Amino acid sequence: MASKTTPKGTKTAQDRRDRLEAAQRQQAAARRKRTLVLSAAAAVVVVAAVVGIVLGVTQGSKASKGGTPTAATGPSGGIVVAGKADAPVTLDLYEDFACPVCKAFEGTAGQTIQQAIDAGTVKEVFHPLTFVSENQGSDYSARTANTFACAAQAGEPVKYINTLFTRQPAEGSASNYPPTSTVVSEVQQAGVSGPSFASCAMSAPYAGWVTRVGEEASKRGVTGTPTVFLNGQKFDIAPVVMQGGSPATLKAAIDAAAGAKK
Amino acid sequence: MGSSASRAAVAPQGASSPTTGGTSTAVPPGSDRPEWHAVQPWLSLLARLVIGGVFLYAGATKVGHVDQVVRAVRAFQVLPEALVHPVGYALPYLEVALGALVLLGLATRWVAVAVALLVVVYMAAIASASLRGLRIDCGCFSTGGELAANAPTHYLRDLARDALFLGVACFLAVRPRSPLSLDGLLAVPSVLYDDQPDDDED
Repeated sequence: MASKTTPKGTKTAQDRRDRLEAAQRQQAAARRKRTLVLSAAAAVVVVAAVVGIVLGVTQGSKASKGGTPTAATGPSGGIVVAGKADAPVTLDLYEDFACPVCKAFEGTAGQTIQQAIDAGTVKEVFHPLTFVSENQGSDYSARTANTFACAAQAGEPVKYINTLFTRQPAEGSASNYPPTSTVVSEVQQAGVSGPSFASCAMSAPYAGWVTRVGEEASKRGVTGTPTVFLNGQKFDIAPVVMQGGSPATLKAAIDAAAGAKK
Repeated sequence: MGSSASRAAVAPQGASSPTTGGTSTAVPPGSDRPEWHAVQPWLSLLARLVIGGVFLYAGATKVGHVDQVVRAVRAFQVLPEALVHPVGYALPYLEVALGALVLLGLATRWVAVAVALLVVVYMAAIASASLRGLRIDCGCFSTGGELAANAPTHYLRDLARDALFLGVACFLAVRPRSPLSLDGLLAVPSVLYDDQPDDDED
């Protein structure tokens, strides 16, 4: 701008300097305003991130408390639902009570697993996960995971699992999922009793444990349900749960794992 | 000779809008068109509503589900474990903040650049998950991370949607001036936007 010559040649040098200074002042003010606006926006973004981290850490420490059911193998461990303690094969099963594929897996592979348990080959450790209903805006998965721990404390984890998968609500919307009281009465009809089962189910004392089980599963690389580990090795469930699938590969993998132990 | 050379120079612009070619309205958008100056601010406002709404919604569905966001971040298997928690905690609030700033229209150009960068990061993460054969839910709008076995992964759909958002954010970064914005209300100087009307050449 300053390099452009003015149309009138009669302007004095003082005149030109004044106009230049005014333009510079204006530009400096504009720059200050821009800096201010940019700083304000950047501050909003940074403050939001910091607030998120602080809230997350606070909530994380809450989850690290929360009672662990005595039936669990550890503060973030699953619950041994069946099998001899010294069985050669540990089958870690990660399932969500709202997950239809888990229901299909139980239907196809349940008998094979039960036979291996009866033969003393397999010990089944169940890890309840909670994402399926959450993705539909319901906490059904988390509630039923907590109630699973209550049923295990009452000594009836297998009856609970079978009942929950038999009466599984259809996926689709949050309103499909029944309240905990309905689940409790159905499970009680199936024979899960014990003096404190119902009150345990309603008060959700194991919510922290459920969160930790999910966290542990995530760290182990579990990104879907059902997920099966045989003695720590991930088992490919696809041939079992696909349309017209069969438990043959699972049976073979269990036998192989048992053979490797001997 | 000279006339054929100038024709060749014009041809690519005509080719960019083949559907309207031939009529007198098929002039490429530019500062020499008053209609464009009238329409552009409203297009930018629309872009703000789209980006702001999408980011507010995406962030709001994640706030309060920090555990799942952390797991979704971890499921991509990109970040070291030490960074998974802080990133997972910060992301929902970051999205809400960016969405709110875009809706309010404060520092629009630079917020739009930040949005575009974030979307690029998301796209890179999804593409890399797809290339590594991971089977995860991107957690873009839901809490995500985990995926029921047999459930489809939707990587292409997610990438296409993010590409659309990226385009809208880039448009907003190039043309941030729009009505009903804090930038306009505060008369934030045009230095913020380098597209001063007079040298607004494409």
